[in-house]
Amino acid sequence: MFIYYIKLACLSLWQTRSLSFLAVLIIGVGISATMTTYTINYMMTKDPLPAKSERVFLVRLNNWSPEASYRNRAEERPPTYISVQDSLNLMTQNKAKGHIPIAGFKDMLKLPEQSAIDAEVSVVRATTRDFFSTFDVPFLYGSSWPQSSDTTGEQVVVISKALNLSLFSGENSIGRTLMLGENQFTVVGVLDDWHLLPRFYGDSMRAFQPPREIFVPFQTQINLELWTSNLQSYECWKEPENASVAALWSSECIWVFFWVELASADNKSEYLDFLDSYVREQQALGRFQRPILNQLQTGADYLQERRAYSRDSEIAVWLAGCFLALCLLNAMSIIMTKFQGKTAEVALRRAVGASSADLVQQYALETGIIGLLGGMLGLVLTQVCLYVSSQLYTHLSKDIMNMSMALMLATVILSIVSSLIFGLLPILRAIGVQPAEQLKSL
Amino acid sequence: MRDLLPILKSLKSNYTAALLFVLQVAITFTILVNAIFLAMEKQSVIARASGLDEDNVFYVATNLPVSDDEKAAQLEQDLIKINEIVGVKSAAVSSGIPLTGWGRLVEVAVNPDTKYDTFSGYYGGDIKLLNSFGAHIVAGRGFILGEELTARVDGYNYATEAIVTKTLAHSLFDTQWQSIVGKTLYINNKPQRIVGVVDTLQAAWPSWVVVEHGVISAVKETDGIINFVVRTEPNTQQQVMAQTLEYLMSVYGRKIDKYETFNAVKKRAYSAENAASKTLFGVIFGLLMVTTLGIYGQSRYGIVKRVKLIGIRRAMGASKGEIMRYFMLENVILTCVGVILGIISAIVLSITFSNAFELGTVPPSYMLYGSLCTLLLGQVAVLYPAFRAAQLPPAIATRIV
Repeated sequence: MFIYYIKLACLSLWQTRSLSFLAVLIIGVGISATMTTYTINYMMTKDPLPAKSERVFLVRLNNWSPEASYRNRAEERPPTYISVQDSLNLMTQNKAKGHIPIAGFKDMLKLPEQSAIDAEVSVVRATTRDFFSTFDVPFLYGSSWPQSSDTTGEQVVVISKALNLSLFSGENSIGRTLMLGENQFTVVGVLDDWHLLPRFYGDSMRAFQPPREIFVPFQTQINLELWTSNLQSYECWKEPENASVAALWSSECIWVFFWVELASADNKSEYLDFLDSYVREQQALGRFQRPILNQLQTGADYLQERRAYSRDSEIAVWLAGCFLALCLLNAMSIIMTKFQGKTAEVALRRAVGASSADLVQQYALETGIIGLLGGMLGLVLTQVCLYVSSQLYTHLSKDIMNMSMALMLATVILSIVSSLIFGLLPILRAIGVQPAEQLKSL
Repeated sequence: MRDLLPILKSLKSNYTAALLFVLQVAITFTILVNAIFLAMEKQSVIARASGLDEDNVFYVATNLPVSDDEKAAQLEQDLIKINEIVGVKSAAVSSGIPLTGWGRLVEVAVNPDTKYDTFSGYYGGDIKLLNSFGAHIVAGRGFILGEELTARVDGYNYATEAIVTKTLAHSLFDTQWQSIVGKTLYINNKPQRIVGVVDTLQAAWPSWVVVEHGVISAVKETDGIINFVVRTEPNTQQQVMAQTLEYLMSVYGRKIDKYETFNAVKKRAYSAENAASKTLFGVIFGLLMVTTLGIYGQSRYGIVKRVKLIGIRRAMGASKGEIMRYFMLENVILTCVGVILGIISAIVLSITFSNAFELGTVPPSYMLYGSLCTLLLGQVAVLYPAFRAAQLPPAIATRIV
C-alpha cells in the first residue's frame, strides 16, 4: 500500500510538475537561508571544549595599583591577564593538572640556509606543553615538547601543518631547524588540521581567527627575552624599573593569559583556595595591595564578558527564521492550489470507498516528498551559501563555514516536518469535499 | 471604486487564500523594514569619518635599529629623509594608527584626584602628526616646535600640552566645547594644557563606545616598533610607498613589521560590518524575489479560478481596463491589510531586537517607505496576471457555462 501511495504521489507530482517544482524551490531557499545563518551562529557560539569546559579556567588575579581599581570600574573586577612573575610562580607551585600561559612575540622566520631577505615576520605563540593536551591539539608528526623543555626553556618549536607545507614542503620535518630572528629552533612536532572555534584562549578580539602557526615554550621566550610591544595588549600600573626586557618580566605589567586545567570540576574551590593563599603570601611581600578578587572563569564566560560574540549572527538567524516562515506560507498556498485541482479525484476516491484517513495518508506522503526534495535542495543551497559567506566574511576563519552531519540531518527533518505542518491545511481542505456534490459536477 | 463591494464579497467566500496572502505581505513587510534598518545602521557605521585624509595616507611599522641612546637621532634622520621624498605632503611618527585594533587608551579627567570622566584613544608623535593624518584644527592651534618631546615609551606620561578631538571636548564641556582650549585636563592623572581641538580623529578600535574620543600629544616614542605616517600628494601613494620602503630598508638591521594604506586599514576594520550589510541586502533580495513570485502565483491562480466570472463580466460589457482595475484593486486591499498587520509585527520585532541586542528601534519613516514599497511590489507582481485576465475574450463565458 505504501509503495502504491508513493507511486501515486510521484504521478501526481509529475502531473503538477511546475507547481511542485516551485514549491520545492521556495522551501529550499527558505531552508537554506535559515540553515546558513544558523550554522554560522552555531559554530560561532558553540562550546569549543565540550568535554572540558567545566574544568578549564582562566586565572584572574586582582593585580593593580593600590590607588584605583582596575580600569576605575565602579564594580571592581580583576584584569583578564596576569604578570610574568605570577605565571612562573603558579607553574612552579604546580597545583593544577595543566598550566597554560598564553604569551607570544613576533620575529623574522626563515630556514637557516635562507638569506635574511627571505625571512618573513611571523607571530609566535609561547606556551607550555599542556596547551596541546588540554586543548586536544592533534599532531601529524612528532609530539609536543617534553616537560624538561618547559622548565629549562629549550629552543624547540611545534609548527602548523600549513607552515610545514610552506617551509618543508609537507614532509616529516621532525629534527629540522628554523631561525626565529637570531635564534635557532628545532622542530619537535607538526600539527594536523586543527580548528578551535571560538578560539577562546587569547585576545577576545581575535576569537574567530585561526590559531598561530608556531609554538615555542613559554620559558624560552622568557629566557631569550623576546618581547614585541605592539603585538598583544599589556597594561602596567607601575613602570618597570628600567627599559630592559628582564625588568619587564619582573615588573607588575600584566599581559599573560593564564589558563589552568583541573583534574575535575570539583577541584575548582580547592584551586581558588590555593590562589587565595598564594595572593596572601604575595601580599606579605608587599604586592597585591587591593582586595582579593581571584576568579576562575570558563572560556565561554570570558568571551561573553569581553563581548566577543557578535550579535549580528543571532539577528540574522531570527530574520532567516521569519523568512523561512514566509517561504513555507508561500509553499502552502502553492500546495493548496495543487490540491484545488484535485477535488474531483478526491470525490471519486471517497465515493468508491477510501476513508478520509487513507486520503490524509496519501496526500501527506505527497507533501512529505515535496518537503524532502525541498530539504535536499536546501542542503545543496546551504553549501553554496556557506561557500559564498566564507568568501564574504574574510575576517572570520573559514572553518566557521562548516556544516556538521547532525545539522544536515536536522535541515532535512526541519524541511519535511514544516512542510507537513504547513501542508496539513490544504490536505484537510482537499478531503473535506463532499463527494456527492463534486461527483454531480463531473 | 464600485468594484469594492464585489471584491470584499469574493474575498469572504475564499478567505483562506486571502488570509495566506495577507500573512505573506505582513511577514515580508516585517523582515523588509527591519533588515533595511539594520543594513543602513551598518552602512552608517562604515561611513563614519575617520578624520584622516583616507585616500592619501599610508603607514609603515618598523623599528629603529640602533642602540637606545642613538634612537632619537635615528628617528630624526628617518623623518627628514622620508619628508624629502618627492610626493610626500607630510610625514610623521606616531604611537598608533586609527582603526588598526592596536593602540593606547588614556583616562581623562577634568579635575585632579577624581576618578576619570571618560576614556580616550591616544596618539603621540611629532608636531607634523596632525598634518600627516590630515586632521583639521577647529579651535585653538596645532603644536609648535618648542613643544615637541621625545620619550622611550608611554609619551602621555611626559606631555605637558595636548590636543583633543571635538567629540571628547563635547562630552566634557557640552556646548561650551570651545572653552576647553587653554584649560587643563588630567590625562592619566597628569595635568596637561589643552592647546587645540581637532575635528575628528578616531581611536584604534572601531567598535569602541568612545571611538571618537582622542588625545594627541607632541611626544615621540622610540621604543620597539614605531609607525611612520605618510600623507602623499594625490595619486602618488604607490611610488612614495615604494621609495619610503626602499629608504627604510637601506638602514642596516631594519625590520619592516607592516605597511598598509589607510584605505586597507579601514576596509579591514569594518569587514564585519561590510559582510553583515551585504548579507542583509542578500536577505532583502531573496525576500523580494520569493514574495513577488508568491503574489504572482496567487494572483494567477485566483484569476484562472475566475475565468468564468471574467468572461461573464466581459460579455456584460466590462472593458479590459475595468477587469484589470478589479484585480489591481483587490491586490491593493489585501496588501494594505497585510501592511497594517506588518507594521504592528515590525514594531514588535524591532522592540524585541532593541531590547535583546542593544539596537535602536526602527524610525517611523522606514514604516512609511516600507509600506509604499510593499504596495508597489504587490502592484508590479499582479500587473501581468491582471493583464492576461483582461485579454480573456468575452466569448469564453459562453463556452464554459
